[in-house]
Amino acid sequence: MIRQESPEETAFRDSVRTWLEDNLPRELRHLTFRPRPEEIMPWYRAVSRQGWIAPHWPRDEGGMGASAVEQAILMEEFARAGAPDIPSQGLNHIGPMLIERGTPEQKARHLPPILSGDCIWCQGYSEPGAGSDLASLKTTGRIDGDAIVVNGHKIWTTWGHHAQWMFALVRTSDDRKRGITFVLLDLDTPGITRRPIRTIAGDDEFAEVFLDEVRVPLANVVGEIGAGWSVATSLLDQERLHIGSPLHANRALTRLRGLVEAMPEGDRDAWADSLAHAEVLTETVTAAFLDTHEKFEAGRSPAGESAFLKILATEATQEILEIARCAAGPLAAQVDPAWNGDRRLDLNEMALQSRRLTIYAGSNEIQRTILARQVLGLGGR
Amino acid sequence: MPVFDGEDAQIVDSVAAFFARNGGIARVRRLRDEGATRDPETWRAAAEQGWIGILAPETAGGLDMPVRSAALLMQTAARSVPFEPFSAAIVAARLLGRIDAPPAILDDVLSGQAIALPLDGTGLDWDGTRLSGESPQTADVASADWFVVSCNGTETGLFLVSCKSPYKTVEAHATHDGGTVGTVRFDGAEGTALGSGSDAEREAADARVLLRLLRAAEAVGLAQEAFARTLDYLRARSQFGRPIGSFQALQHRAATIHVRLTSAEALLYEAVRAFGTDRQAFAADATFSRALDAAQLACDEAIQMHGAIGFTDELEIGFFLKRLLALSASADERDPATISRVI
Repeated sequence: MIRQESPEETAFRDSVRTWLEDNLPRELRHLTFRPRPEEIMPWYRAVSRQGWIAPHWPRDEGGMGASAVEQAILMEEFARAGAPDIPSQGLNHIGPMLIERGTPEQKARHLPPILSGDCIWCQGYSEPGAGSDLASLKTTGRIDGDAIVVNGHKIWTTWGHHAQWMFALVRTSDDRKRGITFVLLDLDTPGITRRPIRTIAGDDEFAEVFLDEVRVPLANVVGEIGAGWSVATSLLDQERLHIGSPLHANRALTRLRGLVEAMPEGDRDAWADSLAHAEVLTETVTAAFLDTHEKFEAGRSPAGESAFLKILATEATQEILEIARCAAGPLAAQVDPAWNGDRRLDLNEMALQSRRLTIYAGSNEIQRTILARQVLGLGGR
Repeated sequence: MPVFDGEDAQIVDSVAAFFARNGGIARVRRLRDEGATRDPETWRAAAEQGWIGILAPETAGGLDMPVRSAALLMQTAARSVPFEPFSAAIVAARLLGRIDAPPAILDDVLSGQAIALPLDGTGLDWDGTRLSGESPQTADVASADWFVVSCNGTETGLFLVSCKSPYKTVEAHATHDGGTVGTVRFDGAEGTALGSGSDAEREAADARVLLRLLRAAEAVGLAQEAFARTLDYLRARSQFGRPIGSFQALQHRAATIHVRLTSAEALLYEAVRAFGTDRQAFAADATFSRALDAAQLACDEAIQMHGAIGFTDELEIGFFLKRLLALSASADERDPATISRVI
């Protein structure tokens, strides 16, 4: 971060760095993939006990109520230490959604297990026929007494096979957008079949979920019946602050820096310019994150504006990883990781993993269309 | 623009109004057509607004405003693509005001009667009383009445040298934006020593950082205006029975420009905040590099998206690219090698 920190912020940074050094297990550092639940959730719980699991949640909901600068400090230090990806659908999506739109009962039931790491959530939005055109979704919800009976097929569900709960959009009437309802679905309910889907990176990062006469209590509807689209999109700008955060760019930069530092001196000089470019890219993402975050808090960020952050952060990350892959040379091609000290050098797997950044949470093409139409005033057909 | 308060808005409004009054880009075109490289009337009028001394201490007759005010000033001014060295003059006036320059010269500079510009003294030697050597590829070489030279020769320090000295020759070339670039040679030119030692070195380093920040602000500002005009055109121009801005191919490219400009502007104001901290040099180099890259994309695409009419001299859109070319050539700081040295 190029912004000068206050003494308190620097003390916070130091405490984060020291704590990570003491507490982050060696086997979880500098991974290129998200470890399985049994490996990652103890780490999630450790961060939770430390009080840093939900920097962006308000204090009275169990979060840190952290400023944009404090959040950037956490991301930089977690990236520097090589901390692994944790499941974030609860922390970044349904948690903030329930804080804004949930009933007191829903909040009391669901927020504490998200914070503690006792419940993993997944997002049931995409369907085989409804990707970028999400509002065309066909999974139905039939109201039957005190329940909605759900039938359909969700897909590309990140960690769908590991999660205990899913928040989902289901169609309760034919109206394209006002016929959609937002439900919370216990994945232990009878009628649910889940299948992991293998990714190009060789892991089971996402899944498909088949729903056959699944009864969801009406108490698990967020907002009104038919208000699902507005519930799902009401926090889009807030969500893009997390998706467009500098975390991934910092991770990629850490990796590149490690590679360059390990080079013989002559090579190191040859890569100094590329490293400088990666530093500039990362600082650009951080600056944009701080600026957008602070505008957002001041209520001066127009709708759609934050779409630029997702594009910026994900494409910068891919660009830095591309530099890192070149810097790793032939080692980058190995499927089994090569090691430099305690650091993995399987750059190709990371490059493969990073392809999803520009696809998930609304592809970058969709984000560009949002910017063009909502922010730049260029019309549709 | 990031965090906008009343004072910020006042600067933006008054600068925009000033250039609207003085003709904006039409003025630049007229001067170009007349072959003039100076517009003393505009320079004096700008000085009367206090702009040259916007960063100079109040005790020296300046406005002593924060760096962000100067960045806003240049970002806004650049929308009218003045080719004059306002950024360099603001930096030189600040420097002169902080090191007890001769009051008569400072008064001339702050009132716009004379133009003082900073000159990097690489390749020049100051022997205690006289300056010798050659400074090639110097921007705005025909504009200066005074050079504030930072030198590491026989003696290290800051020196004020008059451009009227008979021991100075200038080889000036016109630049595409209406300015000049060229070589200035000193052959034992007399001058005034303004400071030496670590204080002078720090002042020279700060001046270098500030100049880069203000030029980055210019790049962002002119690119934002080129982009705004391009968006207007995309909305207004119709082909195949609909506005060309409704075509997704153009929408997505416009979105990319927006991403690059918005983030370059955010980085600029983070770098402005970093002035005075130990990361100021990296921050300024980083923002300069990003701003020029983003502006290049915006100015190139501005011409492409206007089509054939964008390639004409008649339309003003080409003036943004031409000014950017001059800004880009004014320094090699966008070169990542420069940045890697200060990380």
